[in-house]
Amino acid sequence: MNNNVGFAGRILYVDLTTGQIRKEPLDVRTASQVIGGWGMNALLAYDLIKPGVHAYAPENPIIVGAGVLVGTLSPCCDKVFATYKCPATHVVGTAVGGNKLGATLKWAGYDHVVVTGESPTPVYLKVVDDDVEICDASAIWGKNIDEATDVLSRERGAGAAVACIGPAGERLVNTAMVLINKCSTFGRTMGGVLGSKKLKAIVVEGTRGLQVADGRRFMKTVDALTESHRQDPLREQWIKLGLYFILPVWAKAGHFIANDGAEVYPENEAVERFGPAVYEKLKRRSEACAACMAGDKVVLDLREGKFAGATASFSCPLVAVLAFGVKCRLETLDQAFACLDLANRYGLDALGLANMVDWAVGLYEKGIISIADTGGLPLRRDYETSVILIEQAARNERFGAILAAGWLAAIRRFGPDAERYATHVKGGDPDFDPRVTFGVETLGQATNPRGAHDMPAGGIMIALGRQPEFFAKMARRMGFPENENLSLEPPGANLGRYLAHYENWCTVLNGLGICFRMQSSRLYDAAACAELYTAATGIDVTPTQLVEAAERAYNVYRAVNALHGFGRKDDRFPEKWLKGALRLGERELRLTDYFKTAPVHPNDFERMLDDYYDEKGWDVATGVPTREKLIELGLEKIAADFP
Amino acid sequence: MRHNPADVYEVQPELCAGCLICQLRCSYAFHHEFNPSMARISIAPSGGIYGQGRMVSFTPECTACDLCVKHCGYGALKFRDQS
Repeated sequence: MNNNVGFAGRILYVDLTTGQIRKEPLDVRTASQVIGGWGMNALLAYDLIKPGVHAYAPENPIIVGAGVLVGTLSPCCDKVFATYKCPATHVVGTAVGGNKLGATLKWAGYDHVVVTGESPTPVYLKVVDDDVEICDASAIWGKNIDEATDVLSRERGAGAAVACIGPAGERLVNTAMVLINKCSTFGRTMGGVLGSKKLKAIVVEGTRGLQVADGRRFMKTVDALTESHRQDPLREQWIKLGLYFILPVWAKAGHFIANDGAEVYPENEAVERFGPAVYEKLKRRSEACAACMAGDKVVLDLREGKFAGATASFSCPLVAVLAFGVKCRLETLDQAFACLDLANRYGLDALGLANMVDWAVGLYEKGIISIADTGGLPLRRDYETSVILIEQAARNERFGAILAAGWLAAIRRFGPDAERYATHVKGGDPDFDPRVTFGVETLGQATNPRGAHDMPAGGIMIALGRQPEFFAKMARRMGFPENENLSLEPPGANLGRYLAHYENWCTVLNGLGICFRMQSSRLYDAAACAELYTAATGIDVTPTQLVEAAERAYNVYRAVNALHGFGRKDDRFPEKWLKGALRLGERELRLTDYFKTAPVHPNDFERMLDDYYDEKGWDVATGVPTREKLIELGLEKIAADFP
Repeated sequence: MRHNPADVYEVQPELCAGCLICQLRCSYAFHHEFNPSMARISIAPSGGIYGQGRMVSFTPECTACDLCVKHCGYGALKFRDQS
C-alpha cells in the first residue's frame, strides 16, 4: 500500500559505478511548481546534467519520470519520459515512451528513477516495489530487443514492463533506441547512453498501487472523459485502425515527403501500396498502453525478410510507411514492416535512419559522395539497400555506421555541399514539412530544445483547411490567456505568439502523462486537467495556475539547454524549407502561411521567432530565458545563472 | 447473490489490448486504489509478451459485478447471451 496520493512520492537513485541504490522522498511542493513528471525531469536535469558532459560519460544521468496522472484511470494517460544528454545532437533532450513503464513505476512507488555511473560488466536494473537490484545481464548482452525482452519478461512474470536496448545501443550507435515491451519507442538517441553504462534494460513491476486524494471527484471527471471518448464518432476507426486510418488523408495532404525533400510521394501509390486495406490483412490485434481507450499499437504478421513468419509489435505502424516505405521507395508494405521490425530488434531509430538513407542516396546521385565513400555499396532507394544499411548501422560499421551516427556527425564527414541538402534541426529529425502545412507543430520543430521533434498535441495544424474560429476555440481549451495578439485570423496571424502558448499546453499534457496522439489528447482541456490534478494530488490548482506551472517547466527545459550552449542560433529551419520548392504533382509548394494567403520569406520566419521569444519573455536576440522572466516565474535559483 | 463470472461473461482474449482498464476499475471499486495486482480479474500475456495473446481469468473473489465488462473498450469481455 502506498500512502501518497497522485504522486508515488519517491525518487530512486542508482549509481552503476558504486552499486549504490537509494530511495529519497520526492519533494512534492517543488515538483508541483513544475507540475511534476516531465517538468520534474527538467528540474532534475538542471541540477544533474552539467554543461560539457559527454553523452557517454558515466556522469551523464538517465532521468526517467512518469506523468503525474499515470497509473490512474485517467484515459489515455501512460506517458513516461527520459531526460539525458543526447549523443547524436548534444542537446539535453526529453524522450517520450509509453506501454506501462510509467504505470508500473508508479505502482512500484516511484515517480522518477535516476541512473548514473557505468557498470564494469553488463547489467540490468530490476525494480519490484521496494526490491531494487542491479542484476547480471551477461546472458542477454548481444541479444536483440525481442529476444532479451522475452527472457526478462519470462523471469519477472506478467505484470512487468521491460525497457531494453539492442545490439545498436550496446555498440554505442548514436541513434540507438530503447524499446519498452518490444514496442513503444523510447528515445531516438537513448540506446547508446544505456549501452555506455552497460545497462541492457530496466525492468519494473509494481504492486504497491496508487491512491488519489479525492476519489469521488477524480472519478467524476474520469467518467465524463470516458463517456466523451465513447461518443467520439471516430471511435470505431481508432479501435480498428488506430492512427493508420489517417494514411489516405496525409497522403492526399502531402505529408509523405520523398526524394530527399524534393517531392511529395504520389497519393495513389501510397494508398495502393501501403493503405489501410493492405494493412488490415497483416494486423492481428491492437495493443494499448495502460488506461488507453484508443490503443493503436499493433501486433502483426511479418511476411518478408529475416524474420518472416514471426509476429512484430509496433508502436506506430505508420512509421514504417513514413520512413522506409516512402523514403526508401519500397515496393510493398511487407517490405516496410520488415525494415521497421529489423531496426526495432536491433534498437535503431528507424525514422532517423530512413531519413539519412534518403539524404545519402540524394548525395550519391548528385555526385557529392561516391562509391568510395560508401565502401563499395551502390546507394539506391530499395529494399535490399535498406536492409544492408540497417545491418551495418546495427553493427556500427561501414557506411551504415556513418549514417547512424546522426546528422551532425555525417555532415562533418561529408562537408558543406552535403549540408545544404540535409533536413534536420539541431541534429534532430523532423516529422512534418512546413511547406505542406505551416503551423504550430512545424514551427515548433525549430524552437523545440530537443531538436526537430514536433509536439503535436492533437495535430491541430497538421490538418489542412481549418478556420481561424477553430484555433480561437482551441486557444480557450488549451488555457491561453485572453489576448488579441494570439489571434490566428489572417492577415497578421501570429504563429510565433500562438506557438509560445501552445508549447505550454503540450507541457501540461506531458506533465500529466497524457498521450499526444489526436484520439487521446483531444479528450482533454485545461479545465479537465486542472480538475484531475487537484483531485489526484490534493493540490488545488486552477487551469491558469496549471498552465503557469507548465510555463515554468518549459523555461527550466530551455534554461538547461541554454547552459549547454543552445539558443536562437540553433532554432533554424533547413535551407530547403525556407528557399526550396516541394513538388506535389504538377504544383510547387513553397513556405506559405497556414491559410495559404501569403508566402513566408526568411525574414518573415525571423519575425515569427522575434514574436515567439518576446511572447515567452525571453531575450529576443539570443532566445534564452531572461533573469527577469525566471524570477517572475519563481525560479530564483536558476535565474542566478542567467544575465 | 454471488455469480460465477464464467457463467455470465464471454471472454475473447484475442481481442484484449492489454489496457488494464478492467483491472484498474476493479481495484479502485473494491480497494479504492489503482492497483492491477489487487484486481479480481487477471490479464496475463501468454507465450511471451505478444506471443499467443493474453490469458484472462478471474479470482475466486470475483462476484461478476459487471464493472470490467462495462468498461472493456476492445470487445474482449462481453455478457454471455443468456437466451
